[in-house]
Amino acid sequence: MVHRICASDPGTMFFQFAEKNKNGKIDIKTIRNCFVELESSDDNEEILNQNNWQYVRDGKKYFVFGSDAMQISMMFPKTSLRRPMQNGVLNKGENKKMLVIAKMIESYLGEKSLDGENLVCFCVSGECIDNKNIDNIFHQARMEGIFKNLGWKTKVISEGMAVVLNMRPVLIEKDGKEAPYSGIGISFGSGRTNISLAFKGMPILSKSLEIGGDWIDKKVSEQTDFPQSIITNIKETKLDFNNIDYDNDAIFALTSYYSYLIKYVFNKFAEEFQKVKSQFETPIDICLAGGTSCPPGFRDKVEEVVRELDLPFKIKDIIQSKDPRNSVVKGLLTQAIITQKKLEKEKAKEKEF
Amino acid sequence: MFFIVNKTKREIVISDLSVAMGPRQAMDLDRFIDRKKSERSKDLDTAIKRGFVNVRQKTNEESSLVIKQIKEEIDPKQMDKFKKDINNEIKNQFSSLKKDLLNAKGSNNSNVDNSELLEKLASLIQNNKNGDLSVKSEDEEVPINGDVLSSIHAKTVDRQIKNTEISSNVSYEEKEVQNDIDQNISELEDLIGSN
Repeated sequence: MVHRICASDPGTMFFQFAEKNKNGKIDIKTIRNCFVELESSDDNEEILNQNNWQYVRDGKKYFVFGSDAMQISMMFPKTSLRRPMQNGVLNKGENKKMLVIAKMIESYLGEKSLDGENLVCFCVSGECIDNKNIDNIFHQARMEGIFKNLGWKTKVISEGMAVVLNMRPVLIEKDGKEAPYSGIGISFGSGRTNISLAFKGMPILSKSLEIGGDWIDKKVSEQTDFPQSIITNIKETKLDFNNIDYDNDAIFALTSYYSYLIKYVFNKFAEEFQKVKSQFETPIDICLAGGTSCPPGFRDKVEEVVRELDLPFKIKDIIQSKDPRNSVVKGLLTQAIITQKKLEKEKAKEKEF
Repeated sequence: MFFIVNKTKREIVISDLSVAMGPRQAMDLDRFIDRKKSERSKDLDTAIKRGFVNVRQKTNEESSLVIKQIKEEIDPKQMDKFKKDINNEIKNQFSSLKKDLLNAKGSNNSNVDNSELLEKLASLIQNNKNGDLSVKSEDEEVPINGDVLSSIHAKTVDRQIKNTEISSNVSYEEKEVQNDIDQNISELEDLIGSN
């Protein structure tokens, strides 16, 4: 029997799944990680059905997920758009988070796996450097609980590590030998920024910072008086670091806060890097991924900011992912396949004995 | 209300109730579990006896009424006298016990346990004299098995999504991309094995 091997990136803004398909390619499914709640009524049910909007009914309530939820929140002004996750972890202020996330996952994975041989690899953020009140213990346990409830085995790695596994930074050692999967992977997400240092595929340091794309949007919105949703839209569609319109307040503010974010991330990580006294004597590759790294020219922006900083390591190259939105989920799929192979080998050995 | 508090700095699992309590977390068990089941729980009983969990409030309609009535009937002066009597009784009992144990120590039947017991009693008597009868307990670290923990979370998830219906599959944005991970997989397997 062929068992399924999946990857899941439960991001603050988007929830993603990846799996190899029959043609040997990779299927990636993405849903916006948000929902709305509607009261049960014949009218509402008719509207939902007519628009082909998928919903979950829980007693007298309807819950609509993803981009459908965004449309509904625009149609029904009294309906607020809610998010099951905040700052990279389950949103503690949202009492329906488990229902929404469990249903999103169930909808993708399907019926309960009866033999318990399917495997999913998902990621969590590294330890939060700048807010010690945020930790992943509860978040990770709940996520594992959802997958286990569906009969799936789980493998968990840090988000920054998934970037390393996908982007393959290379370190040239003193003797001239190449050490692949050695370097820094950064995932610029919406809730948090995750950063991992690895050597030959082994994680050395995985940390996260409380600020990311949402923080940029919020700050720019505060400074320009544009609603945050408008700022998000400008960031996703108009921001181009190669061609900055300095007369546009929103664009200029976005550029400024991006510079601040990059500076903050590297400075904070440098402190952690020094604490572990990592012995990287030769220059390191830095790999950039994540939705917040999507604007054109982001790589050069990072180089421009980092050049001014006094870092405790030398940089060999700054590499921007060719597929920044999907880099993490592909790294997770890489890990999932490796882990499943290992489990199968162990099982075969047990049978031999 | 059956209100309990985790007194430790670590998460505590009450396995036979499938309850996990975070550090210092308070919880009203009646909100999740049938009272009869909570009262029958051996794990909860053990946790309370060991001092990991403290029962802050345990009520039912009848007992609340009884407590109210007693409070109204007792005179504060009587209560002080009652406290004094109990204190004296405890002192007398300790003194008598101490005497018996000292006699036993003088004889050839003494053993190590007796001397330890004596020390503990002596300190209790001292505390009693000082008016401090409380027993101080240190926070203990309670290790939790990861599998047990995730099974508990799985049950919680199951409970939370029970009785929900989904209209059809949730719509995702779908994308088919080139498989550029196979080379990484074989390279990583060579490099680190399948960790």
